[in-house]
Amino acid sequence: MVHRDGVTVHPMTDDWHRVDAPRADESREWAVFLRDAPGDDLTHAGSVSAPSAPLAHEQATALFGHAAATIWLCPADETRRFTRRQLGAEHDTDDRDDEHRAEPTTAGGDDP
Amino acid sequence: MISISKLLHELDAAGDGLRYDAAAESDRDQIRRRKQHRPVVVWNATKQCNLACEHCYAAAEFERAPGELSTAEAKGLLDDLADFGVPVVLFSGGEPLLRQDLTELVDYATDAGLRAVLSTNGTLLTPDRVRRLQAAGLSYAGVSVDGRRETNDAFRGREGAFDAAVRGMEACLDAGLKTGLRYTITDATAPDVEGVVDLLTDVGVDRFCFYHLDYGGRGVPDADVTPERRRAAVERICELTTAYHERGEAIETLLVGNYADAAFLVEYARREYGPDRAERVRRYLEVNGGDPAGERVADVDYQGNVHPTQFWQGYSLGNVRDRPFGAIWTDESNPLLSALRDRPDNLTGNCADCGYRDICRGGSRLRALGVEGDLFAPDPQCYLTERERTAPAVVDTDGAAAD
Repeated sequence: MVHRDGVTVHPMTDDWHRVDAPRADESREWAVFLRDAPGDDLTHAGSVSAPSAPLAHEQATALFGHAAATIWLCPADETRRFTRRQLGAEHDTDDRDDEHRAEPTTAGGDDP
Repeated sequence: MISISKLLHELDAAGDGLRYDAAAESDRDQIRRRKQHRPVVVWNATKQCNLACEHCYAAAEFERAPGELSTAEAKGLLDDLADFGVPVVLFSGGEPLLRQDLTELVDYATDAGLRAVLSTNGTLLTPDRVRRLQAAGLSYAGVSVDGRRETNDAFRGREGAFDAAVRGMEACLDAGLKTGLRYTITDATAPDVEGVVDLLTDVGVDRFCFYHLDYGGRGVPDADVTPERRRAAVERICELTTAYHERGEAIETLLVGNYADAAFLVEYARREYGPDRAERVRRYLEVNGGDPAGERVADVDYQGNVHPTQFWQGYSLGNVRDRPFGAIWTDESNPLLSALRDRPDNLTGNCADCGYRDICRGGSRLRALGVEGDLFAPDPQCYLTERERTAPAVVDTDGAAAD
């Protein structure tokens, strides 16, 4: 860890993991940040699915308008996420996933 | 979930402890001895499906979607759920049987102490697949059938789907795996309820879950019944249940997804059986706790997004690739979670002064949001009458009939 201009910077090391799996496939995902009152910190409050920023704003307002003075919406696909958490890393010991998650090839074409 | 069979006919069921804190009254092995304090978690293991149902909340498709949790990630999720004390994980989809690692994951969940149950369209439940899943520890398979053969196949977009689903249920019954029906009440399916129950009881099925449509994915208000038709359908299911029980066939029927049903059942019990039974029904429903969204049920989708219910796919509380499930679920700095948990204080309109607010809790907030654009508006599918909402007292404090 280094300090640069008063800011703590975590250098990229091997234990940092980029989380880049998609979080939506039909519509854009928008991370929602709220501020309860003008002097408060912004806090992350999940995400909404919407094809455009105005519709994302409409949805976020319906969900959080009662509790927020400020709403920020950030496109999830424009966000770079890095974490030391890697879900299921202790189970990811070999390439068994590829075998177990082989593409099912009959979906949509088989008789039920 | 509200069990008509339990409330009106005192059916002894494995869910009595989990649902009504009534394990002491039961002679059956219980899923949980006490009412749950952690949510039942629905995991949409995949978005891929071999059918194309008109009402699918997951908007499932034939092709596999990007970003599904891998086998290793899924085991990490199951670890998180077990660590958090989740009682039940419901493997759902899409069609979960399209995941080639499903048996491995059911086995892993069971070893971790989770009760593993399955929600499936049943068409891929072969005898061999059932045997392997049962050996892995699967406790229950809920099979979706929506209407008689013609209705179901039109609804599910595949000719032969009904017969294949029934074969799947028979495979479960032959193997001794508990199975039950999942049936969504819509405009198209409501008339077929009795016919489907009669047909499936002949096959040997004895558990029937009737879902009200929630408004997510392809489940849109236009497909829904009117509140008046909904009330009539619920009353018919009550009568059907009674008819079976009176002739000695103790089927279990449950209602899911519209807690106006709770109030209706109190009223129905009062009308059909008198105030004492109505009071007893109300006490069970007070323990049950009303609409469970954001509290007693949670959903994790195929990409790891956590939702307040499986139907609420348009909003995510967070993603399990970022944070453990328990951390997301207990983070009440999220105003939506806290609002769902404190909702009787926030409800407006007819709900604000409804006498059944405590056992309904406003019903579906997702339907209110979808139709009214207001998180705290009344559920548009509430079918209670004005008299029922304003005069729900069953007995007075001395136990005498109030009306």
